Amino acid sequence: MLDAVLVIGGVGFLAALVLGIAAVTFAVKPDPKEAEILDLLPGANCGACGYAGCAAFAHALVQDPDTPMACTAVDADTAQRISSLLDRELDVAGPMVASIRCMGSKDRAGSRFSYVGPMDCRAAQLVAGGYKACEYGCLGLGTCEAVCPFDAIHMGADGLPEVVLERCTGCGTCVDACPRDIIRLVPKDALVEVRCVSLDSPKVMKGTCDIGCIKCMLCVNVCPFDAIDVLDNGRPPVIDQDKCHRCSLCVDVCPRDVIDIYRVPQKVRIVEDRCIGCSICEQVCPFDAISGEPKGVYVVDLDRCRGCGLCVEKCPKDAIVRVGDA
Amino acid sequence: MHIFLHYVLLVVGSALVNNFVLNRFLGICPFLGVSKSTDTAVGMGMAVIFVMTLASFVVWLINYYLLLPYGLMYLQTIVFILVIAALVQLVEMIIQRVSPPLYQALGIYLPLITTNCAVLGVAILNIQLKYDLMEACVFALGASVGFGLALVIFSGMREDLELSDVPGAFKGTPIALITAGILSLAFMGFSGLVK
Repeated sequence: MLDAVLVIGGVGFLAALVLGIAAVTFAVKPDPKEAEILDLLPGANCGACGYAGCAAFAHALVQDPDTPMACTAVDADTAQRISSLLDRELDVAGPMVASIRCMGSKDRAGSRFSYVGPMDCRAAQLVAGGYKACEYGCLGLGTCEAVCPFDAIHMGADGLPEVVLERCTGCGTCVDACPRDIIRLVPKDALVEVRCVSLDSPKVMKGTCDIGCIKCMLCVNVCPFDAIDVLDNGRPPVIDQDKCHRCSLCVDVCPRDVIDIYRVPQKVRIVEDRCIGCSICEQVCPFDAISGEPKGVYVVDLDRCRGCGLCVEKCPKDAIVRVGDA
Repeated sequence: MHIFLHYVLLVVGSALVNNFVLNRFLGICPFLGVSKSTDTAVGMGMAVIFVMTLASFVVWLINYYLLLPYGLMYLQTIVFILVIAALVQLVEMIIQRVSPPLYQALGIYLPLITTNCAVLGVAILNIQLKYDLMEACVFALGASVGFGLALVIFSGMREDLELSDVPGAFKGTPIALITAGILSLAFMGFSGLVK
């Protein structure tokens, strides 16, 4: 009995001793740069960058100079610090969020037949191409809600999913899950969307959905920034989020109310003691909201200003600021 | 010359005739788990060859110079597991320091070997078959080469399977298991090669 205890204990102790010594002798010091970058990364190990985790991504960033800044969860400031650690420029993609491009709720878009099957959009889509009258609209069975790993999509009472912008990380899981390709990712700070993907002609649309896009092209024509593209005939216009200044002119002009703005930008004002009266702002303003005399001080007509910020970009003296800012 | 022939027969016997995976059903989990690509299969095979031979050597010494004199043969399993686990851990530490590329290549497979039944199996078989130290090492070498061989062949077949038109119901694991069965059948052809 004692023999057994001694032998097992002895072998165990010896093994532990050898391993302990080896751990000290053969210790591998991690690259300090890698550790620093790892501290800056979010540490959620979400895998959106395509690596096994934040540590693997930090390793790749340090080892391979061609690694792009693939992390979707760092803000611009952190990305800047990482790129200064690495001594090279990193292209940072801003945070993205899911945008649901359908407003055809239960009361607005009817059904062709009553569906009794698995409550999953992918299953419902297989039955005669889906029960919804509109063959492009949201089926509303909540598959996107079910697959969202961040609990950022909730089905509203009207049968349409709603994205919780604070939680959405732009991982794209719902985009892949939606059988009707209604969801797409858009930059988080640029959210004006034509919320309809139907290819139906206005005539068909009348019978299927009360709100869907009728391709009247009013928004395309009214946009002062040329930010609304018509990709091909029969497809609702798509807003180019890089060009869009969120003036929401299209939102107001849409006869079907199917264009949505999630966050209305602040209007602008002119800081009087910085203005030199160069009149550039007056010339660039698409809404004639700025007036004044050359060499004098210009003023913004807040009733006309739509917060597009074009003048803020163009002002050579940084004299135009958003209303909320100092 | 006679003794050399004996060792050759030992290797052929353990690698081909009584192949660990396909004949003795040992080490099935890495055989199925690590056989998706030939690169990882080769890495895993190398790691197994190294660890199995080394473990057989150490475990044989422990068995005959520690357990047997004290009549503690009933502790075989637990002591062997302890020694093999510690050994793998040690090897992992050394490789990480000495050769980072090899460490990267072996990756998760090295620690996986810790609880690999093929490694424990060869250690126990060495004792059961009453091999001497040299025979034990040669037997372990042959067995691990056989393991690696089966793994690499199987991974090659699975890589081809990825590109072939497999009926939906068989996709993935089912067709892998069927393929493993056919591979095992093929290895049956070696039976009787060594008495």
